[in-house]
Amino acid sequence: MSHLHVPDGILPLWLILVGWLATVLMLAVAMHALRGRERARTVPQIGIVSALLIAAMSTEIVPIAYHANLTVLAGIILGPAGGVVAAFAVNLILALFGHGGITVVGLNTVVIGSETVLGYVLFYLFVRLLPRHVGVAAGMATVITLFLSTSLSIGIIALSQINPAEARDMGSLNPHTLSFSNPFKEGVLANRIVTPEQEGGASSTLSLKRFAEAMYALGAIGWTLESLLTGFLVSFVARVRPSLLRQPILGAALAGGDG
Amino acid sequence: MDIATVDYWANAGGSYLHRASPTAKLMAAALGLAAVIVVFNLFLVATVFVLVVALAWRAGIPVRKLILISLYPGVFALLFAMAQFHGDFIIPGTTIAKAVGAASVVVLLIATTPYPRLFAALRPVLPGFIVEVLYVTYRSVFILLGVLSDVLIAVRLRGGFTGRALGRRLQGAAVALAVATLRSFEISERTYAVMQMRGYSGRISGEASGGLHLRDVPLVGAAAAVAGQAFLFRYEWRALNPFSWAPFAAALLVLAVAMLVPRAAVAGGRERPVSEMLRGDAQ
Repeated sequence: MSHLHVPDGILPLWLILVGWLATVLMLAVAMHALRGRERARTVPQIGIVSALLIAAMSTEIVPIAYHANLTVLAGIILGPAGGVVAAFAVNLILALFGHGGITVVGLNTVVIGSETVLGYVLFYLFVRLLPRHVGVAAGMATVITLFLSTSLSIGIIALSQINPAEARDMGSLNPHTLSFSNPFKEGVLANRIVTPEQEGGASSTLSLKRFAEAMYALGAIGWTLESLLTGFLVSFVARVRPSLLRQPILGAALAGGDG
Repeated sequence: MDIATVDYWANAGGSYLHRASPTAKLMAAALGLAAVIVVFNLFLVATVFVLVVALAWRAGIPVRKLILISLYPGVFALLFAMAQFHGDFIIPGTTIAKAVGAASVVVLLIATTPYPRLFAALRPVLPGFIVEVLYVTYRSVFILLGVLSDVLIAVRLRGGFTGRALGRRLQGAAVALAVATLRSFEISERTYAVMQMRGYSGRISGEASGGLHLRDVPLVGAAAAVAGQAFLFRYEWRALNPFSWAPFAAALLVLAVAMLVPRAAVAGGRERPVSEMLRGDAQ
C-alpha cells in the first residue's frame, strides 16, 4: 500500500507535473551517481532487480490481493542510485499494465524511489546496531520505510486538495463540476450533469481523514508481511550470496550469520 | 495482471492498430488519456471507453479480457471513490470510470504494440541508459515469472499454501521469492557476460520505432478529435453538459458498426483476430 495505486485523472495536474519534475531530478542525480560504474554490469543488475520487483508484485501472497513490493530489498542490493532507476522502470512498466495511472508514474517514482533510498540508509544503520541480526535489521528498516512512504503518499493526497479553487485553474478536480446530479434523473436527452442550483453546492472533495485511516489500516498489514519477507530474503541472501550485500559496511556481521 | 497474455496479443496480431507505428499509437494514447483526465462527465468518460472497446474489437483483441484487465485500477479507485461518497453515487462512479477508461487506453496500447517497439519509440525522450534498463527488465520479467511459477508449483506439491494458515503461505512465498532472487542474480551475471562477449558499446540494439506514416493519420486524427471534444466540454461545460449524451451515442454507433462490419472485409482478408488464434491454440 505504500505506493500510490492512484488511477489517472484523480490528482491535480500541477501535482502530477511536480511529481514528474521531482522524478527527473531524482533520475538526474541517480544517473550522475552511476556514471562511474561499468554500464555493461549496471544495466543488467538494475534491469533484473526491476524484473524481480514486477514478478513479486504480480504474485499474490495471501488471498487478500496482497503482493510483495521488495523495494527495500532493491535499495539494499542496488544502492540508492540504482534503486531510484529501478523504481522508475518498475513504475513505468506497471503503469502500462494499468497498475496505477501512467500520469502518476512521476509521483510513484518519488514514493518508491524514496523507499529504496530510505531502506538502504536504514538497513545499513540498523546493521551497525544489530551486527549479528541482518534479517531483523532488514525487517525493521522495512517497517519504518513503509510507514514513512505511506505517510508521504497520504501527504501527496493531502496536497492534492489544499486549495480546490486554485486547483480549478490548473485543470484539476473542481468541486463545482464534481457536484453534479444523477445524469439520468430527468431522462437521457434532458440530462444536466450540473444543475444551476448545484453550481455552488456541496463539496465532493476527498475526505483525507477517511483516506488516511484506510491507508494506515490496510498498510499496517502490508508492512508486517513485507518486513517478514524482506527480513527472510536479506538473511537468505546474506547466507547464500553475501557478496551481493555491501561487505565493507556490514563488516563482521555477515560472517557471524543471522537469526 | 497477466503480462504474458497481453504480450502475446501485441505480438500475434496483424490488425491496422498492430501495424500502426508505435509513435502514432503513443500520441493517440496520450490524447485519449488527456481526454479521460480533463473531463468529469460520466458520459464523456464512457465515450472514450466505448471507442477503446470498438478499436479493440477491430484489432481482434479478446474484448472481455481487455475489459477485465482495465477494471483492475477500478479496484484501487474504490478507495478514492469511498472517500468521495457523500450520498451521491455519480461522483465516486465517475472516479472509478475515469480509472477504468484511462487503463483501457493504456491496455489497448500495449495489447497492440510489442514492448521493444514501444521502448524504441521512447528513446528520443528517455536517456539511453534507462531505455536499456527497460529492455532488460522486460526480457527478464518473463523468465522470473516462469521461475516463480515453477517454484510455487513445487511448494504446493510439497504441501505449501494448503489451508488458510498465513504463516505457511508466507513461508511458501518467501521460499519462492528467495529462489527467484538468487536466479535473478545468475541471470544478471550471465547477461553481463553475454553483453561483454558481444562487444556492448553502450547501446542494446532495439527495433526502430518507425516514425509516423500517412496510414497513421486517421488514428491520431480521431484521437485528437476525442481529446479536443473533451477539452471543449471541460471548459464550456455549463453550455455543453446538456448535450453530453451525444458523443456517447455516437461512440455506441461506432461500436455497433465496428462489431457488424466483418473484420476480414476491411483488412482484405489478411487479418486473423488474436481471439481466434487463442481459440486455435487451445484446440
